[in-house]
Amino acid sequence: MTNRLLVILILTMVILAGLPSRPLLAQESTSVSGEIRQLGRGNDDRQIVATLAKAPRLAVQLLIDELRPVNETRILASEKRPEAEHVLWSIRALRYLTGGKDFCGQTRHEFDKSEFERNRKYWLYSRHRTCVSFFAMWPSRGTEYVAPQDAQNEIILKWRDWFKDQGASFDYKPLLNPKPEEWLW
Amino acid sequence: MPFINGKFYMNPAYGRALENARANESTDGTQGGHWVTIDGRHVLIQGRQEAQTPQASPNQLAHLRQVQKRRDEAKAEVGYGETSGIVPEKSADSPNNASPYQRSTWDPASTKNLQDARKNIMDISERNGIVKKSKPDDPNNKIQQSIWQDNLSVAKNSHGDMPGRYFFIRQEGKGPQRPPASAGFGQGKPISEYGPFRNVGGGDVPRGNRTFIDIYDK
Repeated sequence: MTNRLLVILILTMVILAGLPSRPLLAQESTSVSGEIRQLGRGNDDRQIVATLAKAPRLAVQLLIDELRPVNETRILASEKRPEAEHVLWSIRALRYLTGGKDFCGQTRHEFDKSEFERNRKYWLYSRHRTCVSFFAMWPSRGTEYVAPQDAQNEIILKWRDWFKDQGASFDYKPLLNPKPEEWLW
Repeated sequence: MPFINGKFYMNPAYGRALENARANESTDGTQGGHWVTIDGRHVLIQGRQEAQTPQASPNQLAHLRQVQKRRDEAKAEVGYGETSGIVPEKSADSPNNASPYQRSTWDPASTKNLQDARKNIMDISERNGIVKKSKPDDPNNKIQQSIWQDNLSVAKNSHGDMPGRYFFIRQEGKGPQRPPASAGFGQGKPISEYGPFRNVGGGDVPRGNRTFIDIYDK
């Protein structure tokens, strides 16, 4: 009888101890999700990314869920494309939170000789040289060039595979006072 | 950056070697100096020692000149890649229908201002290499070649001494007047401004006669 009471008491304590932590975790996840949803949609994106650095592992997991191919090939500084910007800012945040990690992809797209395509090719290959970035910025114009869809898909897969393999054990060290070229361009 | 004989050099050994080699061309080679090894080549560095030492050979001089030429071309590619669509303002007395590429119609002060802007951009590229580099793609295109020569002449004087780390090109009254926040720079006031010029090319800046190049340090 005493043993049964003891077991019930221990089980009750375990259940009670777990109760507050579950809502807290859920609360943190909801809060981080809320921050991430705002990225690229007209708020102070750099401030949001700085906030995400308080829970980098969870943020990285949720940011990878936000990645999807975008249809835009170029976004001029004068243009507003919040849905595409949301994805580009998710990539920026991933770079920031992982200390500068970035993936590139191969493309079968043939860039033609037009000025637009020559610029797009130039900037997309500028970081990794042998494969294209998800996007790249021409800083003196504020123009963002976006990778062809096949490369976008490959890069998204690379992020997912990386997180599946290393996300739990990765040592998350967000960038410290990074230069724009380290994560924004 | 080392300052040698009135010029700045990224690589001090090359700078000293080049300047001394230039000086040696007009000397009898008996003023002394010492030898250094640059890229496996032995080069005389002229000094005050009284030792009898040989001069840099013609091959070594040619090599050093080649290095300098490559450096100048790399800088010119920055100016060309970033500003090839921009020309100076027209002078007041030039005809309305003058081609924007007709150099005789360019305002001299605006022409100098554009060359200064190009030099500033080339200097910035020493500190921030994320810039558009390109060269003329048609050797028979006289417009391309003349703009290339403009950039090449500025490149020879670009030694990294002009300020700034970023620049933004805008058309006054059209489109954004500063970089987007996602660029991470240029949200305050520029440290200097060049223009107005005429943007007759593309390059993602609206065309027009009120083109400005803003220089930022953050």
